[in-house]
Amino acid sequence: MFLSGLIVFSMKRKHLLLMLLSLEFIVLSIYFVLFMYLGIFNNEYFFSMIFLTFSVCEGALGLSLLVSLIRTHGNDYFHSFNLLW
Amino acid sequence: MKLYKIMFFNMMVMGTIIATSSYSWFSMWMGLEINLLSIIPLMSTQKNSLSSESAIKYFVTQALASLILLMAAIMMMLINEFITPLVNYHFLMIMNSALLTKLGAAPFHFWFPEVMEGLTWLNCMIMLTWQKIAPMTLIMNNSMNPTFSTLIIISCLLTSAMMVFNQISLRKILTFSSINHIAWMISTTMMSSSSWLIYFAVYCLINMNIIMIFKMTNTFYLKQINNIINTNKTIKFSYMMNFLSLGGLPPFIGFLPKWIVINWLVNNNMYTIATTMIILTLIMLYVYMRITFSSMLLNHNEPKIIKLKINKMAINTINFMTLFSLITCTLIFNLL
Amino acid sequence: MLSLSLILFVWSLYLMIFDMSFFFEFGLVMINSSSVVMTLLVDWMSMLFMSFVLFISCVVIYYSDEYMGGDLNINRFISLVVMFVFSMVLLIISPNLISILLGWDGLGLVSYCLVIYYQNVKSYNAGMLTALSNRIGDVALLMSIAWMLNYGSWSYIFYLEELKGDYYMNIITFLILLAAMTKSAQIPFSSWLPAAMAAPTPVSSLVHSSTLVTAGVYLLIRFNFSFGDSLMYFLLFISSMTMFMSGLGASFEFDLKKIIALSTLSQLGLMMSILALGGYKLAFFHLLVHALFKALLFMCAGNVIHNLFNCQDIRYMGGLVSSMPLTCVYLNICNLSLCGLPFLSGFYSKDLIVEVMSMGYLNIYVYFIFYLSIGLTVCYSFRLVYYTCVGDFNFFSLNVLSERNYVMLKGMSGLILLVIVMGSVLSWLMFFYPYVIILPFYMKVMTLFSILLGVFVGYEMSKFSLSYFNLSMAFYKTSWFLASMWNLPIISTHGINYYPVMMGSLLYKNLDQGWFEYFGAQKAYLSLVKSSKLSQIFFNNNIKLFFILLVMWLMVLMLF
Repeated sequence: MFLSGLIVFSMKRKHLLLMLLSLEFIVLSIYFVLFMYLGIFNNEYFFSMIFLTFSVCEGALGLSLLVSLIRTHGNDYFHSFNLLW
Repeated sequence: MKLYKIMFFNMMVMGTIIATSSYSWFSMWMGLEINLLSIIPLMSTQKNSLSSESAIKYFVTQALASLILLMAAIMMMLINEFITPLVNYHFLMIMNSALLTKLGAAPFHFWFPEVMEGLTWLNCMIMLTWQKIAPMTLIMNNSMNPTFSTLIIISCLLTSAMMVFNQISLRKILTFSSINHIAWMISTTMMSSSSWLIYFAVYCLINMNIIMIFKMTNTFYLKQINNIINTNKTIKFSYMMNFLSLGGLPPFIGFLPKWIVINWLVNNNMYTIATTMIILTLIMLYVYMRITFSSMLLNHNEPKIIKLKINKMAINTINFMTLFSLITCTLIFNLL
Repeated sequence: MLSLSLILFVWSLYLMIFDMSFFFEFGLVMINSSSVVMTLLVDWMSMLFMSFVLFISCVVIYYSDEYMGGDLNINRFISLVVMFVFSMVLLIISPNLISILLGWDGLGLVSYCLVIYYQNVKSYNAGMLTALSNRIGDVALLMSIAWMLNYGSWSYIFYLEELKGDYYMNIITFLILLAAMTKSAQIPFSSWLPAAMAAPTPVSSLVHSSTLVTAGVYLLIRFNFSFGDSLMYFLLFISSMTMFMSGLGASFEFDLKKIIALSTLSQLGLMMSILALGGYKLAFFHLLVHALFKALLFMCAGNVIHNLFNCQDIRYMGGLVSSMPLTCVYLNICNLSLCGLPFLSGFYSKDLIVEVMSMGYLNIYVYFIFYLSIGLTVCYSFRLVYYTCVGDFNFFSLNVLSERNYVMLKGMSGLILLVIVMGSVLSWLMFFYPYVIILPFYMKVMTLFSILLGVFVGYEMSKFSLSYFNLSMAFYKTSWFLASMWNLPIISTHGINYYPVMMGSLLYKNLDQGWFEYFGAQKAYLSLVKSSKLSQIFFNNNIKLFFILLVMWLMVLMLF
């Protein structure tokens, strides 16, 4: 699941939005593993809350970056991000 | 300076401090995340396509790397808890690769020059100095496979030496020189944290001086050096000496950390890696010389009309302190 | 200076009669139990030599006041000469290698400054040749100082006997011999002596009579107890060759000053060879006497040159006896004294030397080369007299020849009395017991015979050869070889310079600008640029490709 998320993340080269979605997918997979891990050890489930908070922050930041990119570039094609070679 | 910038800057500093001072991998990850989340708004303050592009690239890379780091940490703990004697080097290596990606070390450095190219000089300074602290300390926590670290060092040196050769952008040159210095810093992480601290502090000081001068003169490309820096002799000399110090020439302070590293490597019979590092850094030094010599050797007239509004006193003091502190410190210790 | 010279002379007489010597030592520094001291040795030898040096330099400075009168920098000239004399004095009175080096290097340096005093290319070349030839000797002296460090002190005067015996200490004596050979212009190094004639004439007079060239002989006199047999033979061979070579060279030379310089060289060879035969006192005797008449000879030559508007070629001279009678008289007296005419000063030393040599138990080569050299001395002296004093005047038809320069004449007259009497006086003073010379009649007459032969050859041949079949032109290459001092100047300038310079240019052309340039710097640069371009193409890909690469790397790590 994690690996497939990684592969999708790096293979998806058309839309930035799809990249962000696959990032969320990776986050979900890690959340799954984390949940498993926390279930095995001492039931410290509060950390999953923290993790979710961080991932939500990350997703929000990604979306805001998407907005700013669309404002500057006019689209969200990842291929057009080649101004900085 | 706007208020939100101060807030994000403080949060960024806090994230680094959390990452470096924590005991568990989770809180380290949290520190890194906070650092990342707060630096992105700082980076995309200018409303142009370059800075937002570099911000998105930085964000994507760092998010990926931190997720991989977290995944590797969880997997390592899961496996190590069940099968205790089997220390899993593969996950350790995955973790290290993720950290090196965050750091921008050589085989994982693809984002570094591109991100740097779109930033202002102040953001460049943050990227080159402050952003290195957290991943570097985390690398020091892991025990690195010597073969792996040697591979990283040599590839860092090779790529930086080769890539810097044809660059005309000063930000890219500084990026590759930072990759070069990352190699030396990784070799210091093999020895001790205090020598890493010395190396890093000296590197930060020199870098700060150089970037300050470039920021004040608004210089971004090689050809602009001759136009702007040559108008003032003080600026010219200080930036030249800072570059030589960055290359590690003896009378300047930049020589000291390299000296320590070489001394330690030779003491531990790591002659080959020491020689390789020295020789490959030589190419870097050549590039610094090429930058400085064009303005040092060529005849150039100083128009008196164009006056740079520069606080000379501050520049002179800071440059003097950083450049000649090696000499003055040794002199003081000898005199006392 | 004159009074000082007289005082020193009296002092030396005192020391000589009572057979005393004073020894002053000033300790300067002490490093690892070897002490560096400044030593002054005051015995009759150093005092006598110093008194001669001071007297001659006093006369020469007086003389050069007029000779250099039109010169703009006469103050510099005089101070250079005084420095020169001072360093010679330092050399004379110190029996310590380090303090000797002080005077020795001073001599070398100031002699360089004096040779290039007339600033033209020829003088610079001559000065460079002089300085570099002497530099070899300086280096030898420095090396001997370094080796002497092994023995804890540099006061060689206490080591003379040990120097002879010990194998490793022989290195020192060899180096000292080398130094003396360069300073006294013995055969491999003799080309600088005629070249140094580029200096002003008073300097030549001072340098070639009593100071510079005799420094080597004096050093060997001081060291003479310490030479082993093989070194002595070596020295004898070298010095007799020098004597012969320079005598031959002088017979073919046409430059007035160079003839006299070559005769100096020949006399130096004589001193060295008698030194090598063991008679250090005789060598010293000849040194002093030779200093007197050679100084005066140079001063006469200077007078002639001064009057002929700095023309030095003897073929332009002639008949000077009618216009410059006093100078010619002095010149003749000195020449005859040089040849060893009885009861002039040169006779006492030279005759004694030759007869002591004849008494010695040596081979026929040494014997004949001595007599040949004496004959050659007479030969070139008479040739000189023929060309300058006799015959017709060959210079410009409009000229002003006179002896109106009284200051120079006064200076010369100060020496003439000593030239005449000093030989006998010194022989009475220095040798309390006369040498016992027992020789067969024909050997005794051999001297006389060779002198007469020299007179004949020198005078008549140079007279006849112009109007009759000119042998020296018929055997042009031979005479050129002989006249150019057996090619020594060529060897010591071109011979030394050519191969290093050629090798340098070869290396520069083939390596620095050839292979090394292409395969060294340029190749490294080009290959770096090439690889940089290649990797730049690689890095110009989209960032996603690198993500894929990273993920592949992680997969590899996870799977294996």
